[in-house]
Amino acid sequence: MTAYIIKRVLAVIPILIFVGVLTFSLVHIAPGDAANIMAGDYAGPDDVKLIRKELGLDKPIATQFVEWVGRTLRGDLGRSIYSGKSVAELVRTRVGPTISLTVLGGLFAVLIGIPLGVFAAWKAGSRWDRVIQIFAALGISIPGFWLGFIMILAFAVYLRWFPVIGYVSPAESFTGWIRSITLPVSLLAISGSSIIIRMTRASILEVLREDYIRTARAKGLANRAVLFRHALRAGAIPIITVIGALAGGLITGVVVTETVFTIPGLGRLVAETVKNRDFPVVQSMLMLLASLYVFINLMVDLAYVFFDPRVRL
Amino acid sequence: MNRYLRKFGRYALLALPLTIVFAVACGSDTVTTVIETVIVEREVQVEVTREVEKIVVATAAPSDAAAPARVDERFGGELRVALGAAITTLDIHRTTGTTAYEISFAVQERMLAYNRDLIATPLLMDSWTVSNDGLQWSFKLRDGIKFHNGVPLTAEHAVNSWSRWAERDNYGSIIFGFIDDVTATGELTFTVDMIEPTALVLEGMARIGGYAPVIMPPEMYNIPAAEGAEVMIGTGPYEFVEWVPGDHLLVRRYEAYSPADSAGSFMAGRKDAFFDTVDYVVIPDENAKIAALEVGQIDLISRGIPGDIVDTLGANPDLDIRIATNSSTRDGAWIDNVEGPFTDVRVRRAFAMAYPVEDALRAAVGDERFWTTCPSMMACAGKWGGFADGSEGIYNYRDNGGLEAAKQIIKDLGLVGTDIIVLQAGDRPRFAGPAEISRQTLEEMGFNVIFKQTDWATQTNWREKPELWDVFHTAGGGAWAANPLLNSSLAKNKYWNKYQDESGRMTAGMQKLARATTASEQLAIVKEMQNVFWEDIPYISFGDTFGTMGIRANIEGSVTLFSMPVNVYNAWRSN
Repeated sequence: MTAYIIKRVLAVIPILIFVGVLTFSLVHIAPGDAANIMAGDYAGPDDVKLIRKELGLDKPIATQFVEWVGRTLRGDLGRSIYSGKSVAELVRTRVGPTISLTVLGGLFAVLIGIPLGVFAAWKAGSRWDRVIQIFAALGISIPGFWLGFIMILAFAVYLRWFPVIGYVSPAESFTGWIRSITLPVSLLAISGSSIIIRMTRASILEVLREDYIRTARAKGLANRAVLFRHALRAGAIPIITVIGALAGGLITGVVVTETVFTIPGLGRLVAETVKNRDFPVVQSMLMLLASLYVFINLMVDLAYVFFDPRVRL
Repeated sequence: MNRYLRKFGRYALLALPLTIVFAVACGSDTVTTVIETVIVEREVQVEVTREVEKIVVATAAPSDAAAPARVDERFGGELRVALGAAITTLDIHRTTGTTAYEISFAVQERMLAYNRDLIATPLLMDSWTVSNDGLQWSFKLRDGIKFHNGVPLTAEHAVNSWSRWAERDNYGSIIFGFIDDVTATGELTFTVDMIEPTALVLEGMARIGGYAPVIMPPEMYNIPAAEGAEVMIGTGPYEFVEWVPGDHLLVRRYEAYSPADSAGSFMAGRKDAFFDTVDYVVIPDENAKIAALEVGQIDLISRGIPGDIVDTLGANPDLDIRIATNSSTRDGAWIDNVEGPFTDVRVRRAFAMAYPVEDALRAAVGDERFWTTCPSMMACAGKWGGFADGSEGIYNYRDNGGLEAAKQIIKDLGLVGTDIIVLQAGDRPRFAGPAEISRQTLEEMGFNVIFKQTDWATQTNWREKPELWDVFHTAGGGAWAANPLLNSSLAKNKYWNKYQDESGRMTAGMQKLARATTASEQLAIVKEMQNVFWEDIPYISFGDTFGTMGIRANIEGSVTLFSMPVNVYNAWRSN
């Protein structure tokens, strides 16, 4: 397994090189640049040209690429064109809210999704199954930003239980933190759990039709034992795969969630820097998120070993 | 099985405390708010005009000289102001963006500033004289002013800042075209030696819009552009505390502030900072911004309350929704003067003839309460706006053949079916609506419209390449930018419409206007320029739009003038 892990970690390097080249190309192919945004609406062609020169954005793409590669190899992720702050500093100040949202959103998605999925499979065809399936279908199909606004309207504007905007760190106020993340975490958990419910239900349902499950029942094993000791473990691989994919989904989901709830996390940082064409930050953020995604996939692969003894790494 | 159940049980237990806290949160009937309201009895007699109607049509400041004369007490707590877009830079000499501008009003100051009548009056300046021949100006700054970093303001700072501003600003470059030298002659005095006289010098020190001629210390004006400013330093009533890019910017009352002696009036005169702190919060989403104002998480939206929800918000007794009818911006359709069909002046005239400007304004900002039209080149409410000079026939398409005449022109020119590219920035609803009107009008005229929907950032890039567009939509200065010299769309090749001024008459008019010294002389020249405007049609001018401001009803003294965000000084939180 150690050799496998080393091999997988080394495999990350070409992936990151590919991602780096791809993101560099994409952000430079995309129309628009920081000079136009910084100059503002009332600025004319001469102003933009001057700012572009001052920022070094008028250099040939090849030169900019070589400079970027050099900086990256030295571990310098670059600086924001607008604020002059290093990407590392921007990430440091923004990572807290995102960790809160993704960890709790993912946790609740799993805690809600797996039990409901198992229950729906166990009660397949029943009224309970239909209710759970409707919940899952709605959770998947309703756009996150719309549901977010409805939640704000209901729980923040009318009922005033939670704030409309902002984030409070747990160090500042624990109750404030809970209040500030409840709605966004709920939003992430609803969409995440919906996917897990559907996959868990399908996976368990398939396993429940297997001969060995019939045998286990014939042996007189209790329903709980059949379900959790045999069916769930055997059906775990696709569920884990979905949870791995969900982790990736959470990373992208926070972009919408943090924007809707005005939470200053990494998701909003990505959205803003893309909108403002803050290329150094966009490139570094995409590299970081890609690395995170690769890491999560590695964890998922390793989890297979635990759940399925047939898997040998 | 029990092992698995125990595992799931542990996970479920993890959720329990969070659920309890969730329930506690749900059980509360108040919202956590960072706004601390401090009410202090004020002994100073104040005249506060409180609006009776919820939706106020403000033709002037409700009471911008109504604030108490001195900051005897600390009251007001924190003011939270919503910004619609992220702050792109703190170096106000390097941006015309509105968010940095909004903050700069509180933190930095000009040597002269406009009062409510848009007259340039002293702010950092103490006095000045001008020689009889108009070739030398001598200025003296007020004594005892310190920047927020403790550095005393000197003439050298003023000279360097003003010169730096002029390198960027179109108006600044015009003024400096008349200037031979600007020299600091003493600690607080400097002279401006002219090549020839102009009446623009004082206006150039008070300028709003474009780049702001604010005075900075060397720590700011020496920052290379590539490094970016991490602080905003000035002499204003509030000083910079912190900036978390993309999230918020915090300022606090500047205790060593040295105000001007005159009464506060718009941007000029005495500025009292009654709030302890002002937090500018970036809320990119329009709905979240409005909702946050409704529940009191923010106190103020300086501009951009959508017209269709003004009445709904106005019904909320906790809110004061205002419409600044004194012209915020002049909206229009900017056309490509250097490539495509609009290079032919007859096509530009036909477009103007056919254009339903009222529909475009309605699509941009809402019903008639939010805009006005007038047959004028400049903003209707401005110094040189709103007059008819006999050339305005083409403006009023109904009296000038309108669409039918325009269709005939396009047919006669053999341009029916010709491609026209109209850009629409989907993330700017204000400009996206008029883009639809332009599309419809051009199609009715007989063109084949290629409608390109994109975001604003992409549009700003595309408009650099004339082959990629024919029409885009934006807005220029309103009544506060009344001088045609401030309008780069009228200057040859200065804005994205790349107006060519083939006859040279507009350029000549600008040169004459810059040299004119009497009001009557200036008016006559502007009328001449307006004639050229309606003949040449450098762009389609719709009319004036009015700013909308949303403010918590317990904030008093705030100004709604030209929709300029000057609401954080001489304003306070009432009971």
